[in-house]
Amino acid sequence: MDINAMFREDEKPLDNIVTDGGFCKIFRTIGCVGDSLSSGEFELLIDGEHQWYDMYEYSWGQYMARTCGSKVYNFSRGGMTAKNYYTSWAESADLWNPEKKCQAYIIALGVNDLKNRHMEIGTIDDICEDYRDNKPTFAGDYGAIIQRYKEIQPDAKFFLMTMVREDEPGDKDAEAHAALLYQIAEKLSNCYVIDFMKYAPIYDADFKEKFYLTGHMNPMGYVFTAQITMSYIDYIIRHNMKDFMHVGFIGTDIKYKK
Amino acid sequence: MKEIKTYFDENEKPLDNIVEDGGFCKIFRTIACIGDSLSSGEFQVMLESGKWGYYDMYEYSWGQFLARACGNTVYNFSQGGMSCREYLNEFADEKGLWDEEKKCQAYIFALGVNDLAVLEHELGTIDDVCEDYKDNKDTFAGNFAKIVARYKEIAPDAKFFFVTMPKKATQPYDTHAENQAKLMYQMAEKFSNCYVIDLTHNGPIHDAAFRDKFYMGGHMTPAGYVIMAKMIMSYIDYIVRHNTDDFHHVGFIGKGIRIK
Repeated sequence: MDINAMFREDEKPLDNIVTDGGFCKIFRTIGCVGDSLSSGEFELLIDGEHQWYDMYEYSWGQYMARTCGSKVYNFSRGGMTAKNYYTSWAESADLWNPEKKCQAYIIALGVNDLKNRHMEIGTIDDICEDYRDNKPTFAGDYGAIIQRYKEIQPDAKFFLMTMVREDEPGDKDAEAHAALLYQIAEKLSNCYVIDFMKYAPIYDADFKEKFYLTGHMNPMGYVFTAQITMSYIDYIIRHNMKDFMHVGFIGTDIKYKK
Repeated sequence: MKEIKTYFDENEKPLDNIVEDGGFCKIFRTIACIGDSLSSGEFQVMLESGKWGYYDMYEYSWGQFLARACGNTVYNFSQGGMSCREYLNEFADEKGLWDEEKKCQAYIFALGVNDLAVLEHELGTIDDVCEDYKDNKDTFAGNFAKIVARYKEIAPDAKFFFVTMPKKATQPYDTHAENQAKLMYQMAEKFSNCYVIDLTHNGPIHDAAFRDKFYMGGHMTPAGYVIMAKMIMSYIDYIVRHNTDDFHHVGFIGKGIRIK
């Protein structure tokens, strides 16, 4: 068994696709904060009309849960934006409840904010020391969600998912979003970027032919998304082993030296 | 699909093939892991007080990672600091680990580190193992065999896997590992249905480079226990594939059905 192969410096994210969750399974609880694509949403065209169904058991989060044997919460709903999540929905859906605190959070928000509703993206400076002072931009609201969960679960790990690349060349919103996520991961502790823009396959017509059902994914698409998400987290852990050694203590009362 | 004959390649070595899903390890619906801290998902951490803290977090044990991968029931018959002598004299009775209701199709033994390297109990020899286990000598060999014999009384056709101690590139630890490994092979010869998971010679050395990645203090990290689970599952998968005749009747273990 070649342990060194796990730590090759020239390895790129998604070079190695895990089918068992890999080291992603060190997290016993995960919260997936997102929109329709985190909710296993299926889109159908019925009598010329689009209909949308959030079927959470088909979400990539639940495929991940079943693969890793972890508890995964869907903190997500079709159409979700960072603003809606932070200012109202999380409260009304009880998603700040400390009983649902997780060791890891995967945040997949931005498509509705930036591409569908054309909200102001803002800048990294919109994130303040006290999240209550954050500016009401995408950056400010997104930062506030992380900061609020850090208040609930201080040592949790956060994985910030970029959008995917749909066309060559990539669109400006998605690129600006990815750039912002890297800045947030620099600014806030315990944050890592899942950069699908750069490392996932292009979601072009051929891809959509296989993995899409109208404007959202089909069941295979969500399985595929689970695989690349687990593989990316596995990669991040393998290349930052020391950051993840204390995962077992997250959310416990044990006061250890960091 | 790869050719079926590749499953049975005589040139294959243990851990040449790492299974992601548990492989044939999942033929066992119930497994008990008899061991010490390293079987208990124990984390060792420096506390803010400046003292070491030790926490058995069983959900992080390799046994429970194995259970989740294979979809079977795995019992942790283990606790930090465990030795064969303590298991026999106190622990198993206190915890009800001889309980008929907890009998398993397979038992994975991972004992020896505390006996030999920490408590310095006498290793003994295979000759310390008697026909009637009650007569076994009070050595590591005699006590280890006594535990095996008692479980064979409870689950006569169960399969037993003896895990040897991985080397650490330090002395006298590695000598203890060699001695324990040699004894495990002798045990597997002496008892029926016993197999060796030889991490001493076929697993990675737990040297400074390995410990830098997978250790926290003197014990493993969550990722370390994941990798241990993969090795144990892969080794058992290898053993099953290379001894398929031995495992045909696993489904009948403990069922009371009299088979030829």
